[in-house]
Amino acid sequence: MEVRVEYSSGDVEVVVRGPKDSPELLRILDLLNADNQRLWDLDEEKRAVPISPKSIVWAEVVDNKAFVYTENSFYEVSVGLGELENRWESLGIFRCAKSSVINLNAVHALRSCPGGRIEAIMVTGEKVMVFRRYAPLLRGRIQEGV
Amino acid sequence: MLPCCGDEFRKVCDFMNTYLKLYRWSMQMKQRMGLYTIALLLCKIVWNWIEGLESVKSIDIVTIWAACLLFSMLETAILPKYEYSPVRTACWAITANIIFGTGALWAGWFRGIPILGSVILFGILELALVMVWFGDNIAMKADTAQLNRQLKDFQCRQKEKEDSTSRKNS
Repeated sequence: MEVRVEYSSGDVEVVVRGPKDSPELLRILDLLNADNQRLWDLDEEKRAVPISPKSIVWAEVVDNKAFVYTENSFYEVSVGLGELENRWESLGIFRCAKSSVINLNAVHALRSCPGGRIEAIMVTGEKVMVFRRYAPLLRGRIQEGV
Repeated sequence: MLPCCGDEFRKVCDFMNTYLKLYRWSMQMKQRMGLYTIALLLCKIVWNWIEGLESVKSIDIVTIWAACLLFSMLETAILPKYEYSPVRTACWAITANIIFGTGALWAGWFRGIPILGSVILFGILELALVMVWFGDNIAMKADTAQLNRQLKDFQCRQKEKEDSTSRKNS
């Protein structure tokens, strides 16, 4: 396999050339696609850390800063909750309040609460409230699986 | 500018935490208070119509609101998470009867009502309590069970989708 890098101004473009259905080409495409399915952010030591959307348990905005919580850690991320929701809605990311999103695949249990709210108990044991405005959307989402 | 460490900062944090606790508590309580106030006010309006009055005195509105506020506040203490044990349910029902019964007698919301009317009002109060208990205890539990069933189905569907995608890629 020959790797050629050309530096130029503007957007980054990747052209993969090879025989159709070549295992090598498919593997490279898989790698590129997998990278697109990751959220890159900096940890405390300013190292780039890939965060898989599947590992996100929930995320919230505090003082205009977005934090993503995984099972073992949390990261301050540069993307907003809206972008998280739009990008990975199909993977179960759901907006449950103005300032928080949850991963529906990381919900351990749900509890119906007075006032039309729903409490989501996450796999980490944390409790996140799905507010009245978002509760019907959650019901629709888990019913239809959209 | 807020100090970022030391005793003063801790005091600010403690104040904010206390404020947030109070805020969450009041948000939880206000919905029930509103519901009870509207229900009691409707009974008062009906009684006034029967009496031939087309308005409700402001003092009656204020005392009705105060009684509902007091009951809602006590309710959050008796049923912190709206989980009804037999003892808590009994305390809650007794408190409701004391507050609304005493309120009606002391503030004279239904002054001049005949005995039959009092019996009907008492029946309405007990029926309302049963309906609230049913809503919180039975309907909400059934809703929780249904939500969890749907959640598990959703998670299974997501997993199947994921597995079929990875099979396709491999």
